[in-house]
Amino acid sequence: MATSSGAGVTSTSRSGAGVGSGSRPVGRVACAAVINHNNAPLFLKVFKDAAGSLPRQTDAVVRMQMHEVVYNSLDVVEERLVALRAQSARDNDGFLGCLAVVGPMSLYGFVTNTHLKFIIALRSTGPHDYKDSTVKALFRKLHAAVIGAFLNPFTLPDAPIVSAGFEARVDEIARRFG
Amino acid sequence: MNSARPPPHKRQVAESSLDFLMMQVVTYFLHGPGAAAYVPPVPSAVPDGNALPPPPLLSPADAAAAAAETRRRLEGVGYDVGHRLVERYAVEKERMDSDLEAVKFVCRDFWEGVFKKHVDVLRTNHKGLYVLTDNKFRWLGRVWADEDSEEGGAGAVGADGAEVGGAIGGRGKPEDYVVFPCGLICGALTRLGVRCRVTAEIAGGAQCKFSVQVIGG
Repeated sequence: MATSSGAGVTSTSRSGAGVGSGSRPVGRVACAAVINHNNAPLFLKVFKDAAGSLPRQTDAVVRMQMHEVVYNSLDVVEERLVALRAQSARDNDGFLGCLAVVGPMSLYGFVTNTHLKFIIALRSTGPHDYKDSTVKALFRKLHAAVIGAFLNPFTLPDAPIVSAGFEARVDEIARRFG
Repeated sequence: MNSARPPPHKRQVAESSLDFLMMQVVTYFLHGPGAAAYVPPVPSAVPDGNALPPPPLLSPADAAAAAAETRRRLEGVGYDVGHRLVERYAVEKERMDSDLEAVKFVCRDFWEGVFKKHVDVLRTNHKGLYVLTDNKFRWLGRVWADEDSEEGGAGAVGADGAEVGGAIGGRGKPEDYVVFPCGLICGALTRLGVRCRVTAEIAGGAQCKFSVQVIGG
């Protein structure tokens, strides 16, 4: 049942993007990644419709490219974390801002108190397409979904998240963003 | 549970069920099928008719090793729970840059979430040792130490506990009920970036001191 609902949400997300590209010029989530404290990936999902202006490639290649982009951005995350520690805790809630602009995408980062890192690629034309508050809200929703997935006692902590339910939630969050 | 601050989900659970669960977890792991030295009740014969040899008795050294392994397992369960739970309580909290701030977070927010109160006293020697004192530790509230009794008196474990006898010392000792919380605290702190070792000491009644020793590096 969970699988079928997941598939349902995915198809909605595709059709939503189709409508969106015609009527509203809003950017979309191209990729959502969750990385643990050791920089090991826990979850990475590419939304092909939003990442579509990358050169036409197979799914596997697009996914691979996205992996590379996200991995490279981890260097920027480390730099930002150093800068973050210099600030007082009150001034910053873990939002790292726009990490980089890669082709048609802007990468945003967020780090939690538990040293989980979230990286989101948003379709954009420059680093200032999105308000910080909008992106923060997106991260917060994603974080809530991850917490839900972690509370499942039948998974191993620090193991990649493999869950149809979680994927469906991420799809839903990505679809509603914009 | 608290009407001023409703839980994120509407679902609620009676507190007593959690208390009972905690007690049964301890019984299961220390004296029941979860114990390393657990010997299941021997059936008189296996299906093919051969009689089973009697279970070998453990030497004192083996028994001690099994008891340590058993405690490690129970602590591991606590560690896992703490690991997962802290993710939830650390949301929207101020960033914790130092060990002290992480420990403070555990004393306040984490304790509040798990035990509905704060840690009463936090002491530190500023060299990586933190002592968290809870004067009325919730999970010891229903356990009493009965020095005279051979059973070691864990009142609420009661008759069920007597069924699942084990080769491991007296059962239902108050110390058994702080193994899981030690793991819980350790798991939570590790997740927050503080590698540590946690031990507990019961100081009469329901007062409990948790010592957190930070492991360097």
